[in-house]
Amino acid sequence: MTRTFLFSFLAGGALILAAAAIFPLPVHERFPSRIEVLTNGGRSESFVIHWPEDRLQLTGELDGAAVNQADGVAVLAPRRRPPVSAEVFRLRDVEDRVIGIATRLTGRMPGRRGRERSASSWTLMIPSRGILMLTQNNGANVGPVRVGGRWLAAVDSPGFWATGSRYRISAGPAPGGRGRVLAGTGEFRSLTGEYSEVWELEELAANQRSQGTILLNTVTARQR
Amino acid sequence: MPILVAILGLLTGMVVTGFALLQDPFSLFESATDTPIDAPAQLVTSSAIGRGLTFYPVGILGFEDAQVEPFADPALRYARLELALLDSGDGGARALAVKLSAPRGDNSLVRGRLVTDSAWNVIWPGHGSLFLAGRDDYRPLLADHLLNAASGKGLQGTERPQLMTIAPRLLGSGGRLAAAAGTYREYWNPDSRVELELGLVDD
Repeated sequence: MTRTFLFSFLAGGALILAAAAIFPLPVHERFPSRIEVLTNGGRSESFVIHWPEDRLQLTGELDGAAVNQADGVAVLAPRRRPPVSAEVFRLRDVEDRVIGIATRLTGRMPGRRGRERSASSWTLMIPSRGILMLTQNNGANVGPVRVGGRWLAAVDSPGFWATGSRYRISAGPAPGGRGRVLAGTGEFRSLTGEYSEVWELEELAANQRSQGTILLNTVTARQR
Repeated sequence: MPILVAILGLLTGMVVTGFALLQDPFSLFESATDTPIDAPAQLVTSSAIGRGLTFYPVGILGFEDAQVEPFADPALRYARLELALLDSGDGGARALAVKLSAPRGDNSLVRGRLVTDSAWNVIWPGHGSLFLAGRDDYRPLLADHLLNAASGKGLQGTERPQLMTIAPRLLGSGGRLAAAAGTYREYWNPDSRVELELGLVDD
């Protein structure tokens, strides 16, 4: 009787272990990475975002923040301080496949000598690979603009495209007016480097609604 | 009689092994440790909205929640996005934050490893910006919920906050916070809300 109990006890344990081993936990779909290896040992990888179709909408309300559902821009506008905004996009590789999610936080940041400047920080998450964090000073104020009591993304604000159809947004702090790749996790762990952000207008409608592409070109190397 | 003993043995073996797996007896991996947030500047979640993989503990197993709007793209199927407002402890300016997270590819039920990689990007008007990264441990939450379900209380957690964060790191900062040091932790609250507590010290 004891032997029967022990044998079936072990069989029950083995059954649970087998079920746990074969249980299909989430696995992320992965596409081949489009990375160019540079002669100095670094690596170059570019990411693409199309607006407005890659803007991700969030439903619900944040207490106290104007979450502009129509344009997918969340704006926090405190009294006596400049507004800050959060935008979320699908992230694509150079072959236009959706590989992850990108978020951009923008605002006027206090500098070392008290002067404020427009700055952005990007977080790029590719679920099958990891997370990359980027930061830059902006060459222009690319934060949200209040028009007629409503917050608009800079790309849709009146006059934004008056002087051209291709703007380089990055303006430091890295040499050459490039932004900094600060840190990463997963496959991007211990990678640092530089990047540039370029906005290209493809179409501008009469109501100022625009359509275009954001290009993020990163050049990274492993920290020693 | 031998059949009854065999069934009893089988069931006991299943329950004991299942319980052991949920309690992670092998302790092969680090688990969340409670670091006190004792810093002059603190930010705490006041409200949040999300999209993607549910943060309810069974979400880590891949079960989808009909209440949560998923991402349609295959690469984003198990990704999660959260937008949060953070209150400062002194009643000053509030901060806007975005969290991105996704289950790790090396999760394993046998090894008791049910973890998501997560990253926070915080922008605090008048202060600066912050990048935070860590891992969220869902195994204790899942164990708590399943043990409650097994005892007839339904699929819910116990009435105390559960710490989720493993290896929290402040990876970068800008503006007036450029020289800041600090740490953070996230709790699963009994009302199924995840709360961020962030503490900062100026170097």
